[in-house]
Amino acid sequence: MRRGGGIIETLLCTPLSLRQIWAGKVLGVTIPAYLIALLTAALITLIANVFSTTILLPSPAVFLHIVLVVPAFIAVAVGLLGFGHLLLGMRENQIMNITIFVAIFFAFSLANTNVINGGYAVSWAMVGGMLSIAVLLLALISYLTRYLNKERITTTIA
Amino acid sequence: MDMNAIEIHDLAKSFNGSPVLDEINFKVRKGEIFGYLGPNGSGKTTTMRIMLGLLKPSSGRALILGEEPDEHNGSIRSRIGVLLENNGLYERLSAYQNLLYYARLYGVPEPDRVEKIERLLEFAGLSDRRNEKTGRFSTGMKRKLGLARAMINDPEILFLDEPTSGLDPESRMLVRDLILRLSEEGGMTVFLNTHDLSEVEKVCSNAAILEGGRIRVCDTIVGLKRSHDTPVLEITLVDTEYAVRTLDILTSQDHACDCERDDRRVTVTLDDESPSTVLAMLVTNGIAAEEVKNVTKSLEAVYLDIVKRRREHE
Repeated sequence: MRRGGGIIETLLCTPLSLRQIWAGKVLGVTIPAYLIALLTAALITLIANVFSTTILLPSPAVFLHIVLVVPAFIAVAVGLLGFGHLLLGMRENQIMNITIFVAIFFAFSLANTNVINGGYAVSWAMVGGMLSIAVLLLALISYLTRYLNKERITTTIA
Repeated sequence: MDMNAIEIHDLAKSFNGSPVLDEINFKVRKGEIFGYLGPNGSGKTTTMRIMLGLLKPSSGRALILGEEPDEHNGSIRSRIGVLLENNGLYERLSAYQNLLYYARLYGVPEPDRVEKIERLLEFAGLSDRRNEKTGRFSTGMKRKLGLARAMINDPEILFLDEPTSGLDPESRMLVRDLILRLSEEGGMTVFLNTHDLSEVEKVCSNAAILEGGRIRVCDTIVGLKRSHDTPVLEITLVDTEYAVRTLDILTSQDHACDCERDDRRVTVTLDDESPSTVLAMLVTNGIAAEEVKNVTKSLEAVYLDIVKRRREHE
């Protein structure tokens, strides 16, 4: 029995373009992932308030960061991952997932050290800069989807 | 007006220099159920993927409804329906939600969606399980829903890849009936990719047999059988002793290329000789036969014959 290609091969036969399929997958993962991120932020705030004598609320810059930058970066990460899967072939899925997650955790470990030491503070400039980078990256990945081709995807899922 | 739904001209495909398809030529008329037969690895799925615009041919052309199925040609894809090995269903969605999702993807106008989905659920015999998640469905039910899904856009051509593979006999029969109804009632063209010979024999009007990346024969089902129709005689003798003697006599003859005995029955495939010569031989040897039947060759026999000849040729 041949290895099934899941739903992707059926989607490739619909009138949707590869960019639309990619965008659909990005939205489909970004929305639930963002809801989880929001829930986590709310829980952290709640727990911090339990142990604090004064009411702790996120600053306007942090609030904007959570509302705009976080979903944008989730979309960038998912978009990049999805693009990589489609470009390199479905067989490399697991290798790519592991590589990206290891890279993300490594980056987090570095960032956490700096945050704990007071090296980073969320400012308006930082929010603006990160949002611009996220939007640019999304636009770049979206543009690069024109280099995807069905033959490669089809031959790597078969 | 073009009467051909599919036209394949000198199609060839290679992967990394290894040829998979070579000189593929056939036409499928509108409203026809066309069987594309071949053993595993013969190139059936590759041909279908080229027709669906998923692969590019190395040379030659595939015309679907008069147009080349280029990967950017979305207009062709909106006019065809596809059921691949995977049913293309989301297991966490209900039968109704799956059909609604695909109706949106194909841009089925909103006022028609509900009516169309209801009709397709009824067609697949799944109206009463519309709200059940498809993950709980049996293989046969998923296949029937997959078929309904492939028809959500009222396609002019339906491409089916092994539609009854892995199904139990009852589900197999139901899916076959659905395919026949599509052609008879809806005038839909159906391209059936399969290695199930009985399916082709029961459902298709025309078929091509693919072997080793080349089409060996392409004809109507009747024509296929006739073109490879070497006479096969089934002789029922009055007792087993006569059957053994008959087998001995026939196996010593050059023109009897294949002889088998099952109790009192002897089956013989003749090369060039007419059945009357064999009968005369039996009479001369004093063999008492109860019944002599000229057996029509099944499509399976024709198919095996083609594959066998090719392997001998190699």
